[in-house]
Amino acid sequence: MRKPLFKDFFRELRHTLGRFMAIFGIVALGVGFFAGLKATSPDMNHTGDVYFDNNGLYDVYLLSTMGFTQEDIDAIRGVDGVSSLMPAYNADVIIEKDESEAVLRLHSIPLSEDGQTAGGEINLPVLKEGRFPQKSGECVVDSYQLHSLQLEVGDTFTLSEKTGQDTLDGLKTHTYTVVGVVDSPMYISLTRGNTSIGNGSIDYFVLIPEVDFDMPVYTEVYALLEGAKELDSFSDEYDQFVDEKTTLFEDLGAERCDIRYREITDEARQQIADTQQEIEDGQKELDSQLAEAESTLNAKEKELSDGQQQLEAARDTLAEKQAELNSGQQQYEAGLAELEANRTSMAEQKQLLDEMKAGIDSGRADYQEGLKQADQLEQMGQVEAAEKLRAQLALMDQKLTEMEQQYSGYMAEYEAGLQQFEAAEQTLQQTAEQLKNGWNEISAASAVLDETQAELESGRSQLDAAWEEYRTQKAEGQQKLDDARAEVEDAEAELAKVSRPEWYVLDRDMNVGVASFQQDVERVDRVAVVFPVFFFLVAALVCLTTMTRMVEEQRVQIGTMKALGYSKAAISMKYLYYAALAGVLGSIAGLTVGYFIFPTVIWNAYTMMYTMPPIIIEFNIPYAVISSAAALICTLVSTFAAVYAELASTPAALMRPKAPKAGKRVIFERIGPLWRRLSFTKKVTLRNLMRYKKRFFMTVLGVGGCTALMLAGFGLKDSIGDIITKQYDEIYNYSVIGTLSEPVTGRDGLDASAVSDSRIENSMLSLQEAHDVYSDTAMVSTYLFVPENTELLGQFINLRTRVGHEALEMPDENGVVISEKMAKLLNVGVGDTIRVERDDRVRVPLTINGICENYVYHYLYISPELYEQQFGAAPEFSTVNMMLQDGMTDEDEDAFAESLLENSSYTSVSFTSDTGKAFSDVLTSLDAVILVLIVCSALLSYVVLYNLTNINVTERLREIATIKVLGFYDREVAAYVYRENLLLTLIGTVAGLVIGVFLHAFVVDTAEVDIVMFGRDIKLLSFVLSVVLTMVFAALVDVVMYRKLKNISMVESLKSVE
Amino acid sequence: MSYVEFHDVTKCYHVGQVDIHALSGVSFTVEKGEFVVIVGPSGAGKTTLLNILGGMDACDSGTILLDGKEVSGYSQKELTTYRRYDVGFVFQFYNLVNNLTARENVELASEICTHPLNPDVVLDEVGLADRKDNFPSQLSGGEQQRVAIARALAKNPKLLLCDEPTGALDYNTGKAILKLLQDTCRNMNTTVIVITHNSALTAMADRVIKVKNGTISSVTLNPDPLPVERIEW
Repeated sequence: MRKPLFKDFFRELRHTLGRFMAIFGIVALGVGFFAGLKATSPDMNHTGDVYFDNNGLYDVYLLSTMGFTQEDIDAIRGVDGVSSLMPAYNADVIIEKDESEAVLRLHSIPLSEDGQTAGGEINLPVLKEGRFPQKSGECVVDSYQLHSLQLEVGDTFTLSEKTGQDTLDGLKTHTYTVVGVVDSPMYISLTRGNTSIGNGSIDYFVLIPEVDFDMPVYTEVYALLEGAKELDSFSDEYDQFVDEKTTLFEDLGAERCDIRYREITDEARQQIADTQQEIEDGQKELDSQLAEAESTLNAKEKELSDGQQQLEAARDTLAEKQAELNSGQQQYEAGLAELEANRTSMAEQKQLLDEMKAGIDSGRADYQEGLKQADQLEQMGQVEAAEKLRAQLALMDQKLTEMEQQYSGYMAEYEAGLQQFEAAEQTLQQTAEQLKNGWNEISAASAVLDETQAELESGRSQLDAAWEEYRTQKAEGQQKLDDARAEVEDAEAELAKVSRPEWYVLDRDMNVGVASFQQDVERVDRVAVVFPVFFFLVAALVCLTTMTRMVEEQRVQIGTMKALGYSKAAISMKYLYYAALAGVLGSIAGLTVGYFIFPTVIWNAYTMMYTMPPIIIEFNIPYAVISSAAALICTLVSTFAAVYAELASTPAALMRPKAPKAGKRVIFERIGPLWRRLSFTKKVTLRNLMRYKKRFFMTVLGVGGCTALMLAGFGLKDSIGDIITKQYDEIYNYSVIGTLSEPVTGRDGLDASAVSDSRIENSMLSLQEAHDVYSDTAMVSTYLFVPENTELLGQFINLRTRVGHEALEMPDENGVVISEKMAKLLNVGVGDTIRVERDDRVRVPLTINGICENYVYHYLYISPELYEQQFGAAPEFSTVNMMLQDGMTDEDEDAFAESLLENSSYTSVSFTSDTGKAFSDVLTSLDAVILVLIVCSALLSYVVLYNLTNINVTERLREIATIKVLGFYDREVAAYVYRENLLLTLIGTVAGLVIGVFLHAFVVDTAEVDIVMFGRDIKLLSFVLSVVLTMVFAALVDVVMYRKLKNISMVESLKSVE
Repeated sequence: MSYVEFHDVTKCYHVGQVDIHALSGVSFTVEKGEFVVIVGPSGAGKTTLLNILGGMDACDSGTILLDGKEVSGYSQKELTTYRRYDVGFVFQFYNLVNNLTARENVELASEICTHPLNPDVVLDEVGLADRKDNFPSQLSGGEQQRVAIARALAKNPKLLLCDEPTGALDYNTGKAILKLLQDTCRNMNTTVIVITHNSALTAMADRVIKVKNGTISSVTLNPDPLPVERIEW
């Protein structure tokens, strides 16, 4: 450009800074919004990819029905393209604490060397707190624990018996100490998977050292592929790359499975044969052992009976001796009695002898006396008397001597007797002694015999016991052998049944977290399809209008330049540079802000549902190029087109005032009655509107686009908000669900106290089972809802159509009611047949009788009668739905829940309001996205309105100056201009509402998650808000414009027409 | 006391660092019902004079009286009112609203006045009885200027200000327009002030005010103005 042109260019810039900023702003908004929103999903993907790469998330994950042996591992290591391999274990366990139980999945990890870096190079967990396990018995836990049983660093837990013995046997330690909290790239979403123990779903994962596993085979193998890291995890190239490798693993799997199968079966056969041999040997050994034992026992038996006989003989002898002794005793006693009798007679004899002696002695005395008397008598003279006396005395003496002789005879006799007696006594005494000895001997012998007897008896009982033992052992041994035989038989049967092992080769797509992340990213991408394009279109439109206007304004200048001899190129350069500068600067600003704001805000919203590192914002060159180029092309082409159109005219024509656009009658004038009724100013307004058709459409489209964007944004928010209120307030009439500790088949089985609480207004037993439901074209995982009876169901759940809210019939026999989203996914309608897969994999057909309004999850309502008929068993109700009294406060509800849990019938109680809240928390993440949309739309609408009004005013500067000269007050001037503006805005708004409804429907359709149905209605408030916001911005623009209008110099009116 | 009085009116424009003294002490008077021609070369200050007299701009110092009211002391709003009720403008480029028919353009002015003339009557008077429902683009330049004059007259103003009313017209049409203005002045007793650089027009004026370098170089009363038809240039 030549110097004057340069000056002109910069002065132009300075003087029309408002317009420049408008183009700049609109380009910035359009480009920023488009590129920012478009770049969001690539950024999200990139962040995910980097996270996976940095933490070595597996590319391939192998599972086998029979685990992996070391040989398998070695073979896998040999697969072409495997850069790293990690064989690993996992086990699902249960822990308990304070009556609550949690199901954990244990994964093995290599021990960490320093506690700060994870061992190995695959599936590296990210440390959030504490450290990594450095020795056996330590573990790190999931950072995401929604469960009531939470583990923190320092906690110790012990595996519950409920885990199952097999699993417990596979672990060396059953008590672990939590040393850290981690995130794992394997678990980026909030889902932790399913299991066969506990309540069936895993609450959180725990990583324990590999050394704590004690399993014969690895349960899983993770592999990284060479060259996969360089690829974007979410790209098709990556999928293709991994798919190709997957085939290699599958081939290897087939090969290894054969080997493994043979190994296992051979091993088993060998084992069976060995066992059989063992059994036979055992039988032999048992038999011989038994025989030996029996003979020993028999010998002992013999011994015992011999002893018994001997004892008997001894006893006989003893008895004889005793008899002998007895007779001896008797004799002795007889002798003793005789002796005693003799003793008495001897004593009597003695007494007689003594008496005799005494008689003799007294006779002698008397004799002596007589002699003396005779002597005396002689002396005295009495000789005769003396003689007589002496004669008598002599006689007496004779007699006495006779007597004395007799006495002596007797005495001798007595003495002899006495001697005899004493001898006899002596003999007797000896006999007594002998007898005593004899008795002693006998009692001793008897004692010995008694002892022997006792010995024999204990011998007997011992022997009996021995026999008993023998018999038991015999039976036991036999039993054992029989058991072993049965086992062998079982093993043989087992062996016959052993199926070939199978490998499953899974990739990241099979990881729930990765898959759902990918889906969510795609969802963002899909929202980013419509909104930004629409947004960009509006922006481009405004750009185009603005630049066209600018060129038109400078018509005379263009003509002058041309007349002065400047080339077309030189002249158009100014405008092209102007447009380009605004476009480039706008693009730079838009990209800078947009690339930062949109990914960050949306990511932050989504990370509520994912455990991921902060987003990595990349400068997305393709979108930057596309959006900037589009913006530049829009501005430049429109500028060029406008300039070119002007340049085509001759300089003279250009310098002459452009023939003003002819006024003409508008269609309304033909409607006489209407036209006549309008005030003059209104007529003017109408005519103006119709006159500038281009501006009319631009404004209507611009304003309409913004209103539509806002409405779609607000509507999307409504649709999401609807889910919670409609589902939990309108569709569910009950407010509490209690889970029964034992399922019941009917009211009879239910403890009376379970539902007798006065706060429970009504209750219904129900069963909710997860089943896969098939149509001809699709499959959906659904909850089968079986109510206690269909009548109650109607009271508890508002089964109705979404459109028209017509109540749905719930038939007992002939059909089922399914939820709307499910019907949509299955592509079925009322009267169609769907098939529900039972646990035994049989698919039973059911006819759809109605499609009900439902927003969260999918439900299939089926009557208990039909359920029994189709599923072959009466439903086992495991939950109780309860309606509560009105007017309960939060505290009341808490108290109620507590009292319910104290009842042993229930294991858990949940309020639908809480479930709703939890769900709405998750959905608020989308709110952020929507807020971004609304804010951007609002901004856009302001810029658009400002720009269009600005054009409107500049275009009519002369007219406005003229009416000012005519004496219109500022207010009237503003009204003159704004009336049109307002009408245009109104028309644009109405058009926007119509477009918005469609845009909303489209966005809802694309953004919807499968298990959720968004509301389809836009609330009145959203319409009002969109309208009001548009109006507010229009008013704001008018306020800003008012100053400009006021400042329009009336001198303009005196200038020549440009 | 004259109908219009200018006493020592000055006006200075500040454009960047430069002060342009558009008017430096202008004083003159105009009597009611006079046909006045203000004449002078380009840049002499004619338009500034007109702007200030027409209430489109305020003067820096001095006094302007119209019908005894001091216009120079008016606020912006009072100036608007002044324009609304007291002044009628005829522009060089007519300044018709293209989207309005001839009648509607007149109505645009009459709508906002308290005592407007009937637009139809005025249009009849300016000789456009047959073109009332035509849009400006359907009218010739002279016709358009007639509409502009009708629009100014319909307000029944105290003062009719015309800025080079013939500047964009050919000779004959220009003459016809001047005749219309002169007739209006004579017939309706309206004070008409025409600004022009064409000194030939001075012959038809009751009073000629010559402007030069922001001052009045002379004020000449013409006791015997010529009818337009007899003027040639």
